[in-house]
Amino acid sequence: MQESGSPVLLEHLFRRESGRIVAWLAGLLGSAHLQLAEDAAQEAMLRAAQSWPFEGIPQNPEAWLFRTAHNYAISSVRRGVVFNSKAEALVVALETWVQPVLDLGAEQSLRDDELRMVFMCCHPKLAPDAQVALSLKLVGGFSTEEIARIFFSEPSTIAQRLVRAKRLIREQNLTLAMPSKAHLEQRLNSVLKVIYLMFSGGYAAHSGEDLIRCDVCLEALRLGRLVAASSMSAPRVDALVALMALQAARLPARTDTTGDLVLLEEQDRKLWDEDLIALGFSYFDRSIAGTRSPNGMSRLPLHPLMQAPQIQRRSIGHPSLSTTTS
Amino acid sequence: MSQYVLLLHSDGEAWKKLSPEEMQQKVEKYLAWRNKPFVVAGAGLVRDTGRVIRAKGDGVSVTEGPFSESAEVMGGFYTIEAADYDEAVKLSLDIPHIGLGTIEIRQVMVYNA
Repeated sequence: MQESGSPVLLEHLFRRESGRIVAWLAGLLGSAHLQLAEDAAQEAMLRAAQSWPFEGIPQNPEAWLFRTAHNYAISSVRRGVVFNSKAEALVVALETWVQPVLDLGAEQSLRDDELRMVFMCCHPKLAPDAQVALSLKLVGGFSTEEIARIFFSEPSTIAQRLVRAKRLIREQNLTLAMPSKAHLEQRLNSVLKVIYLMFSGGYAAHSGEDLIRCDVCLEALRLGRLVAASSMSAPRVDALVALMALQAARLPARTDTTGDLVLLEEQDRKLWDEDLIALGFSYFDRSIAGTRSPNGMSRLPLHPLMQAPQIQRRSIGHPSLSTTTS
Repeated sequence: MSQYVLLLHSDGEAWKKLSPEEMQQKVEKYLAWRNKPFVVAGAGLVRDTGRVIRAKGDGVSVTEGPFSESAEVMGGFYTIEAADYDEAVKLSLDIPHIGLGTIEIRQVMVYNA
């Protein structure tokens, strides 16, 4: 059954698209129907996972997943999953989306949906640990079990935390609308804190490294870049992205073949991720350029960045001269 | 060489326990297996109730599934070539289906003229 030119799945496609579909459907349905958005995303993944093994990967897997989730959401609303008079309005809202084509304009609008979802997950009425768990679940596409593994918690504890947070979102009517100008700065700080907690949760050193931990670091980095590319960009956002990129660059060298941790000075630097180092530098430069502007002082400590061996390597010009112990 | 049909019954509840990431890993393993040279055909089945036709009095009755008591639904089938049942079983062990349902293996009958 060899097929030439058959499509290949992008790495982490299912997880990424889960997050995007939830953000997108919640945007259409409103935050009161988060559960339906999540169910629809899960159903799309389930159907893909059970039909693609036989039929192969469709030409446009992303569009396939979006269309399947969308159909499921519409048929659920019609079946009466939503017990109120608003069902018809929801169908209308869902039907505003007709074109299953993910073009450039759609990409931008999906990024906006994701940003709004992150900002809602970081609402001050939600406890910090709930903010992190919600962001990983709704935006990151991580499962309850995976989040539990990342934070060394019981899945039931995380499940409860998520249920409570979603109930609070419903009861307090927290919406996906961006905070007003007066509250935006504060919310941005909360978002940056959650992104950093997410990153450090994944980065926390321990033996027997789990791939999922590395994935969480990269997801935090992705969210940081999402914020940095938006209208809310600020030097402290760039500084956080730089910090995460430079630390994440060392992840491949952090454990040896048996899974034991390797001290920084003993790490094989050839394993450091050059792309992430370059990314870290560019954001570092951006944050420095930004802090020189009148109102852009970075509130994130740049100290750890200055200690980053990559920075020293660049300023000194030779890797072997770098002798940091951070 | 004989042909064997592998009927893949899926356990929906087991699938639901997987994270999106785990589902993708499964899909990739299924597809890697499906591209092996001994796999000659395969098709997925639509996940609905299907229809069952039975004799009823002088006519027939047509009902919707389920076909059995089990919560498993048939997700699809593959046809493979193998020397005997032992080999057919051995080749099937690489399908990442264990834990997500059962695989029923049946040899395709061939009449020798």
